[in-house]
Amino acid sequence: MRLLLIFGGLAVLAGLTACKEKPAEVTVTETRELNLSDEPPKLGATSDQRFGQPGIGGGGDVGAGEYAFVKPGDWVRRPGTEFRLLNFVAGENEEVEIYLSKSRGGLIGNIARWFRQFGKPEPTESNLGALPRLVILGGEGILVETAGTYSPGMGRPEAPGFALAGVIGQTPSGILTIKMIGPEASVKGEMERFRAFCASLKEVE
Amino acid sequence: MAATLPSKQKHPLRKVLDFLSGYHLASALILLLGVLTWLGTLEQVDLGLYEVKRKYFSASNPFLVPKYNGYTIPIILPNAYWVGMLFFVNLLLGTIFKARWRWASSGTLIAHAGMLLMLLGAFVTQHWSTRGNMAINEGETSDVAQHYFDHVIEVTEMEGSAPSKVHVIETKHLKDLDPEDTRLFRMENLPFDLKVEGYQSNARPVTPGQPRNGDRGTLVDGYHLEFREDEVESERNMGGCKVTVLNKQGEKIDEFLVWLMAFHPATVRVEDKFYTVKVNKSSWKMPFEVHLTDFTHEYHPGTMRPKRFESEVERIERGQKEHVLIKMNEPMRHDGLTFFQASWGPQNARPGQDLFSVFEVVKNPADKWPEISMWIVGIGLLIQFGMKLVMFIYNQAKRDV
Repeated sequence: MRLLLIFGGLAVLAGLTACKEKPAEVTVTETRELNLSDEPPKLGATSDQRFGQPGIGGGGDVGAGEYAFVKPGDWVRRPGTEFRLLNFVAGENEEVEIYLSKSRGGLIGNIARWFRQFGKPEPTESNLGALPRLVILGGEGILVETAGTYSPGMGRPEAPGFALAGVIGQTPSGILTIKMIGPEASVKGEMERFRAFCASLKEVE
Repeated sequence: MAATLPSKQKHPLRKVLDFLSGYHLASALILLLGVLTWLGTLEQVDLGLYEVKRKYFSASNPFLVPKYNGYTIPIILPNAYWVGMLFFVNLLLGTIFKARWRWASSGTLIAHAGMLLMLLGAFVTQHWSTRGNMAINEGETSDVAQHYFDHVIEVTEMEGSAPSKVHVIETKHLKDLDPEDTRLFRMENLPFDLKVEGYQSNARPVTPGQPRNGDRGTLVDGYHLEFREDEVESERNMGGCKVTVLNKQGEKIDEFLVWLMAFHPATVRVEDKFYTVKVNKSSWKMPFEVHLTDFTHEYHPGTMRPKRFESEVERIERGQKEHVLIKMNEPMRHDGLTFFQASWGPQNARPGQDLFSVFEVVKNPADKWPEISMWIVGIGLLIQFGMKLVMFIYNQAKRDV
């Protein structure tokens, strides 16, 4: 009974505090100091440039610095990072990630790591030849497909039922990879668009 | 007929004091804290850490109804914040009024003091600690941490092409807004005001032709903001809203959408001066710069589980450089701030590739209080049990004699 009284009292108090009306106007005086990340922004950017989705619904050529490509209509472009030169999401709930990266090192090392992330045996030089090929930047790229439990590492949770489709190719400036990772069914559903995207990729002079 | 003696009635205040300082209440509260922690841990799987902390440990929700695996558990429980507060009061009153203040109980009193300090530390952490993260690429320098969850709207004054001053609409003015709400922000030191509509903590800009995944806000320049459920990992939320720029007479100058993950900010030109407007994560300038010299990592053999990762940094303060090594369980503590080695990337980097390191930055006045309180409790219990042991041996020896 006494406990009920205490908790009842607390509930009334909470009810009273919750009745505060939302203000329609607020005066803003707060500022913050400039820091090293405050770089000069691009002024006058259009909504298409700001949200990175020109040609949605119909696709379109989009420059991304050194690359041009045709973005599949229902992919959504996201800001890149230092290591994701192009970055997209796809699927009904944006559950599939597609990104283009440049790296150095050997083809076999990169492919081995992709398989390792899915707990699959690493390929050897001799069975690389059995993997299918895709045209990428006018050259030959190796298409890697695997599925299972994806272990992204770094304490991030494992994702069962995931799949990877990745293309890796040697270019004059190093190794180029295009990876698509997500739930297996969604990755399969995006496969045709992934191939079309890879085929459309061009280096801009 | 025997006369009945009038019973000695306790004063009502004394009754309240007895109840608040009683062992029964203490036992009930400890049990409740255990149950709440257990249920919170279970619900974290569905709700995410941030939402669970808000539901189970925030002062603003006195009561909660737990859920497990999507199903509601039909009980109303008090919030752990208030249970903890009541437990602090109970422990304090119990220590003052119920405990025996004599040498023989000194160990218990010390242990109680330790527990009080621990609860006080939790209170200070809840109200006065700040957390954020700082990501730095190898060879680069940073002086800012970003909060994990708090979104703000920043209006930046431009001098030529460079930012000169940043005005901030803080999280506290945004987080109570629902998509149907409108709020006018009077920018005291700017020649215009901003009207914010349709604010959503998690949204995506979409064009009308895209498949619909949720309610949509007003169409502005070919884009809607589509509202999404908050992510389980709340740091992945991408807030956005519609902003209308008004002159001081209330006339519209411009309108646009702003969104956390936009590639560029929106630009406003007023009286021949440029300003940018964007949603950003609330940032927090450090009193020193951190330069990442090198990052190294190592996995357990044959797994993707990190065995060791560490960052060699230079802490640059007033022109002085100091080399510091930050490891997984060996943070850098300086000037009231603690830098924990939190993560790194890119995850698929190959040997020799440049990496970036992510530090969790924490400012918590009660940072070391749990450790100190554990020592105090430990010493208290050692004294108490030590004295009991000595007394037992003494009594046994006396009896034998």
